[in-house]
Amino acid sequence: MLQHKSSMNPLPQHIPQKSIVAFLQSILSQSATPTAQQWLQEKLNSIHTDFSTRHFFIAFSAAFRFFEKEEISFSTLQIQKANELCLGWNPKGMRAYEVARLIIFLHLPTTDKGTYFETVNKLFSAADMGELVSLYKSLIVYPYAEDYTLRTAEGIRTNIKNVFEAIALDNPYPAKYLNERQWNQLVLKSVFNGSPLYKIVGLEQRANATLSQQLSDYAHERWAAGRTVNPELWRAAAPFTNKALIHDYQKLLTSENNFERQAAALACLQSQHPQALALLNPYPELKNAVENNSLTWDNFSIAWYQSLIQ
Amino acid sequence: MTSYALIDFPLIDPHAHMVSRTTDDYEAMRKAGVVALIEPAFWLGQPRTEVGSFKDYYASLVGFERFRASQFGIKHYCTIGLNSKEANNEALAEQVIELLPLYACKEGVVGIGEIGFDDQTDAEDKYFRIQVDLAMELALPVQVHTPHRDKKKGTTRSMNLCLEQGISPEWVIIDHNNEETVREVLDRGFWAAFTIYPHTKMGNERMVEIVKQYGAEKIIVNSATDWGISDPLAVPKTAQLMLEKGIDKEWVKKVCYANALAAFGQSGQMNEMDWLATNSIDQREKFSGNSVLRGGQVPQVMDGKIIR
Repeated sequence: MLQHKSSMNPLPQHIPQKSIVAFLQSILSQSATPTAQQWLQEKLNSIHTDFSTRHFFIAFSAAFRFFEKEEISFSTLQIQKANELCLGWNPKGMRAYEVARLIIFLHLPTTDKGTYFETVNKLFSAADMGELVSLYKSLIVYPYAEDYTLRTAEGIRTNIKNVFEAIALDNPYPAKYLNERQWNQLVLKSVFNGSPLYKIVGLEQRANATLSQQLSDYAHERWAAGRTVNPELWRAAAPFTNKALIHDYQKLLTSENNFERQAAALACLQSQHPQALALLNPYPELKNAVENNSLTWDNFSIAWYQSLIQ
Repeated sequence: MTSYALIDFPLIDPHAHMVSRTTDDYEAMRKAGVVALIEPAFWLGQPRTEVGSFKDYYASLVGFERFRASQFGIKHYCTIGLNSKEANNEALAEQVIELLPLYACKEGVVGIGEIGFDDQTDAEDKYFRIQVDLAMELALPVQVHTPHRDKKKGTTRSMNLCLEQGISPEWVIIDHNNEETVREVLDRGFWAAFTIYPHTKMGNERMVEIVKQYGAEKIIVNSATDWGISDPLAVPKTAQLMLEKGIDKEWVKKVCYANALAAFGQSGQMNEMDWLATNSIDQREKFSGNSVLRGGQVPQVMDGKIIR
């Protein structure tokens, strides 16, 4: 059985906000209109010279009026650069107005931590749907990033799916900073919401025994109600395979649904648990497919979501 | 069952208090052709006593309610303001006025509203003026609630007040009109909105007569559906009745769609492409369109009697 460290206590990390702002500005200069860039520069100057929360909030909101709504197409080099500036950061999927918002946000004075968080909390609590998405996407690069865990846990409680997914999917922050309970809530809620688990950063690294049991219990509840479960769930559970999960895999391997059989095979091999591996003996073709990498969790998930929308 | 067979064009309900309505209403509105709606900030039936209640209410208008509408294929906009009744609690009103700029600049906020007179007190007058000034500062239209009592005078006074503050009448939508107020509103160059609301405001048969008499220019139909006995399908029902009574389809399109878009679109926050780009395609395709596969995001449509 694979054992992972289930608790992570990251040390505060120095994030070079100035270099990040310069990087973001170079991205905006590719496509933004001169009017938009000039508007942004004026706002930044006034934040710098004569800071008022009211003007800061209005600038943050109004950015979307001046900048493009389409996703930016980042070059491989730019993605690499982002990751160099802040480990794990991937700006893919950001829209120009979100880049502008991030630049504005990173201009918030940080010298007094108390004042800083007073403004940040007000910004979050008054944010509209799109602003919350913008704010949560970039948590990883914020000053005092390690102090955003309660805010993130609060965000996970949202009923607004795109806000939830801004935190849960393609976002390196939760895996790096959330504690085990917060992390487990994120994974369970992703399963419950039908959010694609393969887009959760660190899903396997943050696996833990409690979560595996919770996921198995959830599957049993669904089965008892005559419902199906998202077979991606077993990917999150497999690193801590226990007796109950072995039974689950056994059940899935005899399922009529091909996705369920494939998920069970992937989970058995991922677990490396001797009893789980033994379950695969009657299914050499499934075992081979996983072993020769023609069946992986990622391509499994893509095929699974493809099947849902057909 | 009401049929909307004659309506083959999209509709906008520019006044609907959806926080008070259920998902059944959203589903029915979408099925009847409503593609977009505007939710004015208003009074909730029970007076609020803390500024935080307003803050959370405004946040829900730009947050959860917007999401709820999107699940049913309806584009949700709102107007932000301090309503006339609660303007009378001056200590609270001061704090609420401080809050407004925070929300008025947000995405999808298409005006300051609904503001105006209820009892026509001095306090109402004061906060009405302050909010018209804010609208001018932020280049937003104003959605004006006209009073239930002493309506004719209150409507005239509302328009006077707007002109005194210096806002141009084409930026102001005067709401809840009737046969007695409509002529002056149109003559003075304001938008005249009509609320089809059982028992108190307009009925849709009367609405047909108004359009026959005054034409379709600058006239807007809405439901103001809320926590009272009201009808979220008032706009589709009125559109259908107008068509049945022989009103030209182009006119019906104007009063049930295009005029609201022209009036509130002045905010720059409401664009036809917001719904045309997404509603013409199947919801399931939309979610896969950008290859971001989001399982389970297809809204549940329950047709049969069995609920699974």
